[in-house]
Amino acid sequence: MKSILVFAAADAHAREMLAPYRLPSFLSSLRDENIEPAIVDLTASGELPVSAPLVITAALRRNRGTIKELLQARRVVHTFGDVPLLASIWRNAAQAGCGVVHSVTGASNVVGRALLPKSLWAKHASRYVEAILGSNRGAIRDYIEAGFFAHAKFSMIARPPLGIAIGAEPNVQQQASIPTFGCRGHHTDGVLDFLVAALKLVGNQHLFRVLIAQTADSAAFSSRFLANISFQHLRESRNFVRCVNVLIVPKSDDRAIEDVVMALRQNKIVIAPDGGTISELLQFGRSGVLFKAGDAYALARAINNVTACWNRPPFDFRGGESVVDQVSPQQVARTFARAYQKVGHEAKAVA
Amino acid sequence: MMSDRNTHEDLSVGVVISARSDWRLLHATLQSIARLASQPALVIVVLPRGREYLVDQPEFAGLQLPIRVLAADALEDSWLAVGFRAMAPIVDLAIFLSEGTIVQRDCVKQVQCRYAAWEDLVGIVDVVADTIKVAPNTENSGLAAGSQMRNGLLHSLLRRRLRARSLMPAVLSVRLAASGNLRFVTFSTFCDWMSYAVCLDQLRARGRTVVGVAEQARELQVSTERRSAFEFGYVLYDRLSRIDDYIDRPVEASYLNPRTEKVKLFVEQALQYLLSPDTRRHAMTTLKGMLKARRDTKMRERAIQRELRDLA
Repeated sequence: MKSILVFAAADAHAREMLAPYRLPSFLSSLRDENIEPAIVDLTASGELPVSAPLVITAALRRNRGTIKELLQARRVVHTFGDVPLLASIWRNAAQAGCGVVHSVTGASNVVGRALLPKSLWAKHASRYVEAILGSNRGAIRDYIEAGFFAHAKFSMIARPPLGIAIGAEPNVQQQASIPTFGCRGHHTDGVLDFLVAALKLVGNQHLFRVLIAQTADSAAFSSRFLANISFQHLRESRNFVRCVNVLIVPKSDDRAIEDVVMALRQNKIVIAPDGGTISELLQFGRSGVLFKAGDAYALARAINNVTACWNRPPFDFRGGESVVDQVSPQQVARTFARAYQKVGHEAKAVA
Repeated sequence: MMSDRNTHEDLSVGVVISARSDWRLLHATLQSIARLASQPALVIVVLPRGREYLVDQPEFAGLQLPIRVLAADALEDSWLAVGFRAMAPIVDLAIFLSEGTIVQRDCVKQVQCRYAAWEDLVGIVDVVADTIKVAPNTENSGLAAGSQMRNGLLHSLLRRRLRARSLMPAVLSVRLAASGNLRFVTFSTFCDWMSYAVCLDQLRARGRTVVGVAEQARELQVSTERRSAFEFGYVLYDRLSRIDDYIDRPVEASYLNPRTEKVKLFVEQALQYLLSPDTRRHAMTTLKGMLKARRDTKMRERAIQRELRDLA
């Protein structure tokens, strides 16, 4: 089946969130499912993977004729990213007789901008979307409750695919005398301040250590931190997770999925906020500890609880394999194929 | 046919029934479930501890349903929690309803289809607005089959739009994979809607939740009202007034609006008293119960304020 993947990332953060869908390993998995993807990027220029059969970048963005021609040759148009940028694509695709699928990620704050003219136009155009794929249920809910995708016929959960292969990890769980909590990467938007505020609320500082994978942002703060916090250079997820006993994800962010999956595979405890993809991967607290998102006191309490039960952790660490399966490129490609088939079937039925 | 894993046939469904007081109502509900087009994988009947005598287990065998009977401690254990715990390892979707709710043939199939199509959907509450009234001497076998005494269209519309939801039974369905660590609260015999709304408020953070009107279910009402009207009015008003004592509700968006609910309750009972001679005495007693609960609530509030003042 010929499909076209259209990306529209308004900023660097959104671009980073959409990067997994353009990885060569994922595109190759799509081909294994008999999907021939072509890529259109409405905002970026240059750095797209050459393995895709057809790539259109910002240079061709204004050439509507080319995009329309492309749409007519494809059966399914699958869009990703910022909805205001995608409105005309949805309309053109529907007029060309393509099935329209949209993937929702945590990148767009749709509710906050719902009343802007661009968003209203996008909401109107979103009636052409037939299927919604989402990295988590909450993200889809936000759009539907804001009035988007009024004519969609179904929704599916498709986690962002991981770029690295995660096989059987050696069981490196060592019962240290005191736990080492770890937090890695993406320390923007006050995430590190939030973590430190929570750590300051935890009573017995000598009962645990904290290891933070250092980035350029976090280096500036290091002098203000507590004595039991140490830093190391940001490095590969697998190696970092090996050094810690408990992984802390201070803010719900799909970019931390790799760390979480790695931690679950290595039988490490994960502390994460409730809501978003990670809490769904943790089965709402069955295979990790959840805290109320944005509440430093709740995070402090979670850290305290894990420290208190460190000698007898109440987790059986089951379900790691199923989480790896959910984020594997093959599984995500299968979900895409199911959605495309379903859109195709319904289009045929209407015809 | 597509080979996808989430077609509606692949989502297994379990039904949890709260049985409290009337064996005939429970039997009618079970009969309606036995006639479903798509049979549930498991049916759990939850009784308050000490009322096991209500069920006639040998009679279950004739219904051809996989039925389990469990007991809930009224004070500590919510029937919702008991049913949820038993269902969680077995099925994908759980449907909770009370005795006396008659489901129609396609009810379960529709729930399955809805959840299969919308994977972001985590919980639905369907308020049962339509009723079937039966004479008190009707045989068991005739209860679920329906009767000619259904309400008219206008009556049905008014019930859907204006009636306090606490006065109507409801059907709760949840996706079990998204319902881990839920806190169930059972307020009282008459407060299913409140329990369901609190459950849905918690699920709201995890996905899409919906409240609607059940098209595929009816409430079976035996003409004689066996419940104490005074207790009914008192309990409903009291629980609505003290809901924050039971659970931390979200401040901004909650499916439960106690103030509106109380106003609707008062208005309906007052209208019944004025317009319906048949139910005048029942409405009056219910109103008395509600007013007593209101007085008690005010008294309690004043006592707390006095104590706080004394402390200061």
